[in-house]
Amino acid sequence: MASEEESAVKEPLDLIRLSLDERIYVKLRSDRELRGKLHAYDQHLNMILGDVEEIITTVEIDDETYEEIVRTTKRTVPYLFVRGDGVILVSPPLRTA
Amino acid sequence: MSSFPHLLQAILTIQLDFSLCKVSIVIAKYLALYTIIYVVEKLLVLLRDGRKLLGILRSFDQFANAVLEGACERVIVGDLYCDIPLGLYVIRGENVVLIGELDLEREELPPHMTRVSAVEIKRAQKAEQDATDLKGSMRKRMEFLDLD
Amino acid sequence: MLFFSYFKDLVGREVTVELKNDLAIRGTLHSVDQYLNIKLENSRVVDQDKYPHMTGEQDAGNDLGLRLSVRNCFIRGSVVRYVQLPPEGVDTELLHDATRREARGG
Repeated sequence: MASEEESAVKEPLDLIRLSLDERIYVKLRSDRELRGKLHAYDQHLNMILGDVEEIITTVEIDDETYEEIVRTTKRTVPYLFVRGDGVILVSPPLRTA
Repeated sequence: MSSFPHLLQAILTIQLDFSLCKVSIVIAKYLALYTIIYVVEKLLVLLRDGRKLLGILRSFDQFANAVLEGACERVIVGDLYCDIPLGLYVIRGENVVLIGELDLEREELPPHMTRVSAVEIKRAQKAEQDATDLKGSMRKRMEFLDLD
Repeated sequence: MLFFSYFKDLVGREVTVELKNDLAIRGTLHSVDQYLNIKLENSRVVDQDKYPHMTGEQDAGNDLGLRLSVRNCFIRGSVVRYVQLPPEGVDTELLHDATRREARGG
């Protein structure tokens, strides 16, 4: 059982604390997105995620037609340390009240 | 110490492993005189803008600020490369991506790469840049077609 | 401090460090400092043909491979994007506890 102090949300990072051991969504710089289970984080938003799915979105320009081709690449990594300076947003899992 | 001249006979080699590089203090016998020689391994420094500097590391600190002696920039365009001499360089740490020890026993580059003069590499570099610029500007000119 | 301590315990294990310039380097973790600067031993570039000056012993199929001039390297912490961790080097219970302790501490 979490004590009252432990479950209170007073500052943004408290929301992340409540997401420990849950799957979260992380948006990163350079058009990268991650989904994975949060195992650790610190005040810089450095994180360790488990069972991670990474999606990279790239835009290429076709050599002949000069059209923009949007590609997404997916890959999975068992455990990943993510450096906090690349993090744009962290979204906790949706809770059904 | 295979790189030493034959005249030098290494008597004693002490290896110090600093956090960034290995420094060997070699006490050698040179024409019957005992001499102390410091050997600092050659390094490759990769910078944030993609440039590659080679040189001998003389000093560094906690921020990865580094002093490179006899530095040169290795410019690589396709299969061509050139080492452009730069001299003594002080590199600000925030621009450093990676500092690597070069293994002198091994070749530094794949065999099919050709060394060319500074003039030639500059020309190749410019040609590559122009090709990239052209691609970008063509895309801009096509934008009115509303391709999306 | 949490991640500094964590990486210190990981010394000696194989990791893949992915940099913000898309370079990925695999090697044995030799040391780490408080800025999360990393030193790797027996490093090799993973799956990349754009870096002829660093390319190492890769699959024979890759004609840019076969050479590795950089064996040991120092990577500045600020240029790291990810570090792929070995599953046996992750104790999730321990990490949860350490994270809660760190969050309380400040």
